Amino acid sequence: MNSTPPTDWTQALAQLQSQFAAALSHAERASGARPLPDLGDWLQAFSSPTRATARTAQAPGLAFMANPWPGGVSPNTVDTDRGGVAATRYQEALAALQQAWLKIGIEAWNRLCDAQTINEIPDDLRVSYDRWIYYGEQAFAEQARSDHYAGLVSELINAQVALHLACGIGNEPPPDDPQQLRQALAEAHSREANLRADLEALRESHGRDSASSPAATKKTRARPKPSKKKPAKKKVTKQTARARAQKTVPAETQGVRKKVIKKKAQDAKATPGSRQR
Amino acid sequence: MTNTSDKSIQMLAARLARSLAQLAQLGVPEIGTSPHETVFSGPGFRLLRYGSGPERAQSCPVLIVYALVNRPWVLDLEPQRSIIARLMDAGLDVFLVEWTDPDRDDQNTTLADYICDMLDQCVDAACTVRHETTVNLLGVCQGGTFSLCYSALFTHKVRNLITMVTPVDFHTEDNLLSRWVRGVDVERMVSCYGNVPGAFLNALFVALQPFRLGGKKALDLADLADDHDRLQTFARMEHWIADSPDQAGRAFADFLTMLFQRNSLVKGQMVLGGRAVRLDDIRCPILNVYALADHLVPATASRALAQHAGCTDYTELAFDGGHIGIYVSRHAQQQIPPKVAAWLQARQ
Repeated sequence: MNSTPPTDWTQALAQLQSQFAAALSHAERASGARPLPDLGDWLQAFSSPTRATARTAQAPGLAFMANPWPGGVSPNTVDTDRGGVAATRYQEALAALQQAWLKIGIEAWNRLCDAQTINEIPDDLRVSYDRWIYYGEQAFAEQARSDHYAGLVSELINAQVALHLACGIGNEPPPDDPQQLRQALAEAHSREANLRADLEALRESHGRDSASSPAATKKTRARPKPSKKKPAKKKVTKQTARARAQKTVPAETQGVRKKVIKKKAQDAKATPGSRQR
Repeated sequence: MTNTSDKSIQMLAARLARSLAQLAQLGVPEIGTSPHETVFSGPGFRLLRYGSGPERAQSCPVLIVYALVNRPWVLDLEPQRSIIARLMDAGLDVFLVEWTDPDRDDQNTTLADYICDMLDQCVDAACTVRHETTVNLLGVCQGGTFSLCYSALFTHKVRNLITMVTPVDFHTEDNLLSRWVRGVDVERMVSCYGNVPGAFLNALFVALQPFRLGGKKALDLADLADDHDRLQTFARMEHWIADSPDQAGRAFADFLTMLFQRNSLVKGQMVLGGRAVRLDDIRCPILNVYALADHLVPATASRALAQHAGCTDYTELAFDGGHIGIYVSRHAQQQIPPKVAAWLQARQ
């Protein structure tokens, strides 16, 4: 790879980045509109690998992960042991991913330098810029497909979640250790028993209160009346219905039904495998 | 060289500054402006019907199922770039399921709730409105996966199925997103955040093509100086991309674990609401539309459907473009809706 790129167009490209970032930032401030995604930092990170080594690289899109505090607000203390461990893990995960971005940036730059040397250096700087984007995506695609890069991304996400949890942001997931689960279940049962006892006590007290009111007395007296009559009625109708049904089913059909049932029973006996199925 | 570069920098910077100033003056342009009405709604969703007038009843109906990620307005970005308007132009009666934003109470809404309950309610409602017993489904992206699951479970309710840029096999070699999230502790994440922030997903999507989406797109703004229409389209696109809703935590976890991590759909191991989802149960005709340069849902991920669907009437339609281009590019506007409509009308 080419280690000493021509200076005039590299300087021009860097100048373009800087002017572009400044113009963008000015327009965003002037409009008060939603900012475009982290272009200033991004341009710095990918466009000039030598500078990127000196400062912390920041890649586009991953800004959400690179900023561990939702809404840009950080909790006051991360000084507990757990917080410290989580913070270290997060910093390491971010640093590892930044290393990968740096590698991609250098690779993209080197490919661009090679291309500019082999081909004519275009007069229009925009052509160089578009080439740089092309080689950048190419280098990125090669790295990003690797299991190593996938591991870095998922570790950063996991580390951020761990950091949030360590700082009291969000809820801990339920335990997956069987012992802990049993304990959690026992606690839940205990809470349920207490709640049931409270409910029973409330019912009893409500019952005593309502028993003294005349309206409630009327209701409790009124209920047994239909309940005495209705079951008798139902019994009669059911019996009548059964009798009617038996009457309407022809004798031959009844015989067939019985036979079918018997046949099914025989089939079941004949094929023991069917039970297992 | 230096003088030329200086000049080109100055010109580019000047054009860029003009574009940005004009963009700032535009404000937030309206999107999703095709006339529509809400014909049915419930917790978590709205069913929209486009157009007006009695002639709709004579048209062939189609129910669009969009993804939970992002909003469906990309299908109706502006009058000249509207898949929905073009489908209506082609003679279809268009319905759309719009998922509403989840709040804290929706953290435990499951993937099965979305597919077996909410989507089912929308299908029933569309059938009632149309006085029909079956629907034509058009599932887009994640909504396509929903539509596949639904069609496998409710075979008697789906007449024809169209999937557009729909992931089916989540473990193809070129599926970057799937590779990245396979190691994520989803349960822990969902437990931590409740609903998953839309900004998180946006960040991941942009990170898939950092040079193109982070640098080139913004620098290309310089070309839009003094072109009011193209600046407006740019602003609408940016608005749509940034406006990413949060995801109901449990449904997000279900989708990630079942599909991105375990690839259950093509393995025949997916279970929703206690019922096995088997792609070979889908017997209705399928039109599978995919984009050849799709960086989010690679064509290979979509085309896997051919090997797994149980239908005999299976058609593929390849689009020479990307995941977003298939909704908004001029080429797509001319190509996709008329072919979709013709395919449907031939099967009514």
